[in-house]
Amino acid sequence: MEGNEVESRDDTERPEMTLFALFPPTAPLAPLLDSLRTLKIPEEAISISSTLPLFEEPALSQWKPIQLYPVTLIAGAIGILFGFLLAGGTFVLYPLRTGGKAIFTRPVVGIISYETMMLFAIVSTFIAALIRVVWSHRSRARYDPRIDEGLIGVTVQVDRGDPRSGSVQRLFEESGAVEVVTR
Amino acid sequence: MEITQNNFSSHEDEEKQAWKEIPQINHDLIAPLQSVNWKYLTLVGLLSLLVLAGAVAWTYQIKTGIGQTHLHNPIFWGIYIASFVYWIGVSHSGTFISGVLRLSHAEWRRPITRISELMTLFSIIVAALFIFVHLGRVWRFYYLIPYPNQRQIWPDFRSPLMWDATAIFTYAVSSTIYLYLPLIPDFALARDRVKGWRRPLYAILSLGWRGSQVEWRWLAMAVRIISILIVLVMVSVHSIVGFDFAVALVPSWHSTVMAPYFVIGAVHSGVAMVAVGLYLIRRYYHLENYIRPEHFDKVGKIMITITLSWGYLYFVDRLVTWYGRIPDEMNVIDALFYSEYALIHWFMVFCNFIYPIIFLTIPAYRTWPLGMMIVGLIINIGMYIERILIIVPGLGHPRLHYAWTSYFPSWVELMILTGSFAFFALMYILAVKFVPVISIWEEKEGRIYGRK
Repeated sequence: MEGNEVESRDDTERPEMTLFALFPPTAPLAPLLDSLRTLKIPEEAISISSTLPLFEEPALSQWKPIQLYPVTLIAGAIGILFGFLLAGGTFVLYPLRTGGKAIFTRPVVGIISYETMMLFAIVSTFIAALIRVVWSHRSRARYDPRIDEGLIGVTVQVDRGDPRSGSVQRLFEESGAVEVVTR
Repeated sequence: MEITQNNFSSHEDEEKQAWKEIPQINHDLIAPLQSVNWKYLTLVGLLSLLVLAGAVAWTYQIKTGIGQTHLHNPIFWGIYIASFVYWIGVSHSGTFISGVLRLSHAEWRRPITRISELMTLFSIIVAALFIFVHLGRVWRFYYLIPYPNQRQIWPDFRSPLMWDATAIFTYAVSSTIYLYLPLIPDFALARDRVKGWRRPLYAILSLGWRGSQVEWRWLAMAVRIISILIVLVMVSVHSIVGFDFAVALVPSWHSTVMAPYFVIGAVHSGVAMVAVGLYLIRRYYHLENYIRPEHFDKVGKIMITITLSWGYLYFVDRLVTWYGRIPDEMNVIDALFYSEYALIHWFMVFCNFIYPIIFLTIPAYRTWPLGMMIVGLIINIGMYIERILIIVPGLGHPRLHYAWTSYFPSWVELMILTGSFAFFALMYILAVKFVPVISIWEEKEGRIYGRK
């Protein structure tokens, strides 16, 4: 709760205003989101927090798809190149003639490149996802420990003085919010 | 139409009821982090002593030399490498159970994934430790790393041991990531419920998680991609460990079936270890409502498939060798089947194949948690023996008969081995006090949406 107090002091200085409401888990989200769209609140200004992913909710299925595969693929390709240079480069720079084996052993380069491809792909995917988790819409989402008890948190961000803030607050209350906080 | 309507209402009621269970799930699954009793502390103390004994033995070995082991020419690999192979095998528990079941959307995986992912991480740590234990001059370990040092020594990538080093490094990093990613929401939950020194640590590890759908979507996407990749890494890692043997011309090692045989063997010991872990966690943390007999049943069915696959590959490998009757290979086969290793070999076959097949095919047995733990233990004993039997008889029967020899580990080796098992158990039980052993958010997700 201390964190919230600190947050509220900072919030008064912000140009944006945050409206946060807690809903019972079975409250229908679709009509609420439709009404917010009617008010022309952009998708980026709405954040829904829950203790588990609500991917099954039809109301959220219209959200823009996210892409992480390009990061994985590009990092994997760099990994192949790294493995090729590491193993192949070793054979070129340190040519040890051992046991009649070829100086440049292609299967070995393949094995090393495969592993470095996987390493680069996994680490890059992980880092990219973490960056997105930490930064994406972080400022918009409100947190309340009761969300982990099953309540659904809805945060809407509008400019201070935006006339729609009153409508959003009313909408929250009419949709069955158990608590509405404005900061 | 009426029936459909009734079903719909009934489903809605179930969902409402499931949402009401969420505080209880939070409470039940956070509880193991918060309770410490004298039994726990005694176990930690006992395991710490065993780990200390292993560390003392290793220190003694470093101080007095690798001659303290009973390794000798031509048996240059013994229980250290067998342990390395075994623990790498156990590490396949997490990736196989968690990765494959996540990809196949198996709902019953939910209480099992975290338990197996933790096993993966700790078994890789123990496996990696054995690489260093095996080194004669461990203080020169950095010669294994490819960097231009003062003597211009650069690792030779033609050596399968370098493939090993690369693969295991990849696997260790990937497994840590794979364990950590789904833990972020659970760390956030613990952040708000656990007091004391762990709280700030959870705050850092949870990365300020707030449970917004954007965060959930990125997390789910990353877990999905990494699940695919880590299964591919899993197959490659134990194939490469198999190549350590298969690319050598030692009798009984040089076999094309070695790589898949190693992968299946690894999964065999890994899944069996999960059965052991499931029983112990369920029993001591009273998680009977979460780890239910149906979960043991499902794990048991997987174990049947793996047991059959293992038996098939083992039979194929031995049959082809036996049919070819190449003298050098037959010397090893004879030693295993009829001579000095026969007793332990057939005991291994009993543990790895006969016992599991007999009991796991009985449906009632699979839903008996204690029975599943017993079969898990027996398979692991069998798989450890199998690792020894892959290494020692082959090395002990080289092509020149005058060099035939045998091997039994020294007290130093046995002490380090005991310490390694204790180290694994110690890391696990300490982790149980820091990491929720069942993925809380996945469990909740399963309760709410799993029935759809």
